[in-house]
Amino acid sequence: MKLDLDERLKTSLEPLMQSTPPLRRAEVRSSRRYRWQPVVAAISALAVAATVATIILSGRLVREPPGPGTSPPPATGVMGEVVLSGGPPGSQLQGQQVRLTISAGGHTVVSREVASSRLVKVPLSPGTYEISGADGNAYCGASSVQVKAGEFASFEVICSLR
Amino acid sequence: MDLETAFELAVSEYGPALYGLALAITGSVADAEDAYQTALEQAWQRWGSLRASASARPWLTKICARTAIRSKRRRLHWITRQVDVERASNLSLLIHWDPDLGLALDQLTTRQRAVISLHYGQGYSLDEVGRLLGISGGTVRSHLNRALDHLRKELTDETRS
Repeated sequence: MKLDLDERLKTSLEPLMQSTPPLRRAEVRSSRRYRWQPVVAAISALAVAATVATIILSGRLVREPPGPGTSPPPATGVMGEVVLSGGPPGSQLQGQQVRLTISAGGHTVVSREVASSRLVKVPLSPGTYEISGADGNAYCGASSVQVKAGEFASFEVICSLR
Repeated sequence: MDLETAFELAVSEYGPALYGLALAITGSVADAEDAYQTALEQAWQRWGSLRASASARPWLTKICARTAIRSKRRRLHWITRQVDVERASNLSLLIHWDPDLGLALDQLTTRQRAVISLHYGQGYSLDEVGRLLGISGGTVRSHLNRALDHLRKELTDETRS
């Protein structure tokens, strides 16, 4: 159901008002002028650029419907790994790229390449998600994960090489 | 309780809301951090003048909102003077759970965003918003109506396309 504009503004802005603020400058207490402001500002600008690049590369800019719920609090999402098994003796399984897809209500929320046996952490809104893997040479399972506010729910996707 | 302890308590309690307000007004993490730090610096310098009976939240919110509104001008000056760096200003990234709304909010003026953020994000009445921003209730309503008209148009166009 489509929210009216008032409700949409409230549900979108209220979570923003719970953002974790940056660490305060020590100079705030002593009221001295902060001499390193240009350096800090330049570092902040670089950090913002790096963050934006990371977000773009991780595919989070894709305009896909968000997951269930409208107000993701900080530190909420899923965390886990894709495990590859089987294959010919001596196969190098660790670190192989596998496509991880997270969907909710039939809509893809996140889809990205991840390395097998490496920890993957994806921030999401609270709700229920279907997590699956895909690899041309393997059969991959899927698991359903319940994400609660303020927690990273764990998952594991097993892919068996053909 | 001494002044410093009271200030620390107020910052720990209201810090997230103040920083969130700065994010919503500036649309930029770097500008919001700058505005937040500057606002706290100003607040600490004037902390002793806050009457014991007065609530710290609207007082801090007023300082933070006005600092965030001014930060755009300061940022442009700083960029011209120091380096040619374009800071990210994109509410669709900050409100990634509703990027269409974030894009539409990004097109509002800084003052319109301040009115919207204080009213919808923090629940202040329009008269309270006027007092916080130092403008009349009529001007607040004017900013709000123009902002809502713009958002409705943008979001309707978005739906059609």
